Amino acid sequence: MERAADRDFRQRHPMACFGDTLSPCYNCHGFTFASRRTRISDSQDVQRILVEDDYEEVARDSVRPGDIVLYMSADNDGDVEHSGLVVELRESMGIGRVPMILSKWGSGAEVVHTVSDCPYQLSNIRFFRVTR
Amino acid sequence: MITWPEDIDSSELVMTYVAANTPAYLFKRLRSSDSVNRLAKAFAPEELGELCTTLLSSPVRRQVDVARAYALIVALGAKDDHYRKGVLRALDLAVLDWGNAIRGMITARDIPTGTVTISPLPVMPLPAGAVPGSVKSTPLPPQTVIQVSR
Repeated sequence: MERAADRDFRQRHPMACFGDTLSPCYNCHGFTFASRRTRISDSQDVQRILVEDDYEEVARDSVRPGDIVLYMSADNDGDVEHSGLVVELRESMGIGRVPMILSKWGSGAEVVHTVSDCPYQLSNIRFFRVTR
Repeated sequence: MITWPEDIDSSELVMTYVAANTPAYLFKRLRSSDSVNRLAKAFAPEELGELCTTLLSSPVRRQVDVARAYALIVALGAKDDHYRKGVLRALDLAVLDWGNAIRGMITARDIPTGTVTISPLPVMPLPAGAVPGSVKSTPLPPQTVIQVSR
C-alpha cells in the first residue's frame, strides 16, 4: 500500500517524470526552501521565508530557471498548498514557453512536471525570485 | 467492533494524504471527498470516533491507516450532530502530525448552519405628532460632570 499512491500518481500524471525515492522526511516546502532537510507544513513559515530571504514576485512571462513557484490556495486563506523550483522553460506549440517544475509531492516522490500538471490548485499560481 | 467499510475506497484518501504538504490542504481536500461524505452519512459520531481510535491505537500504522484516520476526523467534523463536538474533543490525536491542527480547523468552522427567518411586523402608521415608542422609551444616559480645579 505504501507504493500504491505513487503508482496512482504516475497513472494520473503520465507526462510527469517521477523520481524513485519516496521520503516522508521532507515535503515540497522542505525541498524548495530547506535543502531537503525537513518538512515545512505551516504556510506562515513559508510566507516568512519569502520575506526574510528577499524573494520578489515575478510575472509569469518573466519567469526563468531558478525561480520558485507557489501554488496558493484559491480560498484566500493564505495556505501555500505546494511549491517547487522552475528548472526549464519548454516551448510548447500554441502555448509558448511553459515552466517545467521540479517539486516534491507531499510524502511522495520528487517530480518534474509542467506547471499545470500536478494535484494542487492551479488557479492561484505565483512565481518568486530570490534577490539577495 | 466497528471496522472500516470495505465499500469505501481508500486509495483516493491515501493519495490526498500523501500529496498533502499542509494540514489546510489535507482538510479541504478530505472535506470535499465523496468517501468522507459517505463516512459521515454511514456512521454516528461515536462510531466514527471509535473507528478512529482503533486505527490510531494500532502499534503499526500503515499509510492507509493514517489516511483513514484523518478521513474519519474530517467526517466527524462534517456531522451535523450535537454529540460530535464531545467525540471530537475526546479523541487523542497526538499520534497524528496534523491531528490537532485539523481538529482546530473543524472547531473554527463551528458556526451556526441553520437560519431563522423572522417575519417583519406590520408597520402601523403613527398619528401626526406622535413619538415612536422605541424612541420615547430610550432613557438618556446619566449626565456626568467633571469639574477641573485649577
